[in-house]
Amino acid sequence: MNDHADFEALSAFIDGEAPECGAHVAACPSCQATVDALQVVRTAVAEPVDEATPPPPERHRHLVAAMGVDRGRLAPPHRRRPVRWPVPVSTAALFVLIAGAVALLGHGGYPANQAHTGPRASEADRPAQGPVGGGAGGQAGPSTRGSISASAATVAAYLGDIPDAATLLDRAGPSLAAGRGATLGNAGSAAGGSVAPGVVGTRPCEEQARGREPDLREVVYFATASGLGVPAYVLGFSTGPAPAPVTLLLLARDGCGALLRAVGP
Amino acid sequence: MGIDTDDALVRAAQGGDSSALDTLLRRHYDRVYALCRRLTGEPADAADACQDALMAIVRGLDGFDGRAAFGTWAYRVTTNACLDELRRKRRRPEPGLPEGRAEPASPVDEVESATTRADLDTALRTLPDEYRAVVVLRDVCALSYQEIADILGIPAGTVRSRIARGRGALIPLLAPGRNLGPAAERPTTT
Repeated sequence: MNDHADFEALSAFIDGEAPECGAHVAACPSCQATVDALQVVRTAVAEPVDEATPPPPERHRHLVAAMGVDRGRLAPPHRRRPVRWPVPVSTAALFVLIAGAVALLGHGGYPANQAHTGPRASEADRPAQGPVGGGAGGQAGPSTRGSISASAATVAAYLGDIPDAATLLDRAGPSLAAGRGATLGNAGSAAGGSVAPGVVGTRPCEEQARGREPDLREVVYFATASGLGVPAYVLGFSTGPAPAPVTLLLLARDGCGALLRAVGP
Repeated sequence: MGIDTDDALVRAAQGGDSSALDTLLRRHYDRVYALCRRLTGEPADAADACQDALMAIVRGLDGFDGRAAFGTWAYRVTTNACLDELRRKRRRPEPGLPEGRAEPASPVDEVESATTRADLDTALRTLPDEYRAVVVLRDVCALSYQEIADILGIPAGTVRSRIARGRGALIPLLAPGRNLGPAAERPTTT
């Protein structure tokens, strides 16, 4: 038999899309061999994924919760497009940046007192109410290496409920701009085990964020917030030496899912 | 009587029933994740794309008119989320390889020299996105050529030829050593 079916027809045949090839394939060893090879490929591609599928509640619980609150306000999780700052805002940000740099030079460190004088200073102790994901158990460890300490956490304080990326930038932006050039004291999060009281562990969320975006570097900004009604961290990652923009992520505390993303000054 | 069809769940979810939405997403989650996993080739990228897809499904549910099956529509949203994720990833700089890890072989090398079955992710990565998408939609989601055509907005004949070309490129990697007869003049994906 010389008149073989073409490869495309045989591929369609194994999908049930070219039944007319059946009689020929049954009588043609050559085409049967091709069909067998195609079947091997199809079976391999259809194999279940080898790792455990992440449980759906972890991934979409906050979506459902947000839908129940107000689905119309739900914002996409990743606004990766760099924010275009209007000229007046850019100028204002520049002044804030300069003021922050002056403050850093004057005090020799991150502007940690900023939140104490800021409008939300009264809420600043919220992150220190209890460690997250570290299991303090009342054990006071002297070292907070790899953790965001309570004093550092109060730098940015509690930002309130964040409905969208624009609000995230609006609330985090000023202190973010002032803090550029400094690495947040003890940032890097708790590595598990005992965590000193007042220390907020964010390592799982940091790691997941870096897993999703490998270009994220050290944490230069931290705050807590409520995103779309869900308790959340606000982490600002540097993406390179200044003036590289800071990537702000609003991450659900439960599961570390990215609720919002914005790029700051 | 409980609601148990996708159509009923969609209607309930569109009416604001968050438990119906939860049920709907749970029902399709495994397939959505598998689609993301095979299209992106990396667990982390898959999780990212999967979350984007779920967000897009939730956001777009009000506009879903029921003309297609919910699953088909959800796969379309998911496929777009994955392709977006792949495009974003290409724009990001690649991190350096960990010490001791060999530079990955080029797709051409892998295709030309494979004598043992390659890792499925590695094999799928050798395909251009448009070929990988049709192969995965067919073999992972078991969609018909017409459904895939509707999802991707291309003719069914293009789906058919792309699937054949994609599989043709995968045979040396996933079915090495198969003696193909004269019929197997495999088309290329380039």
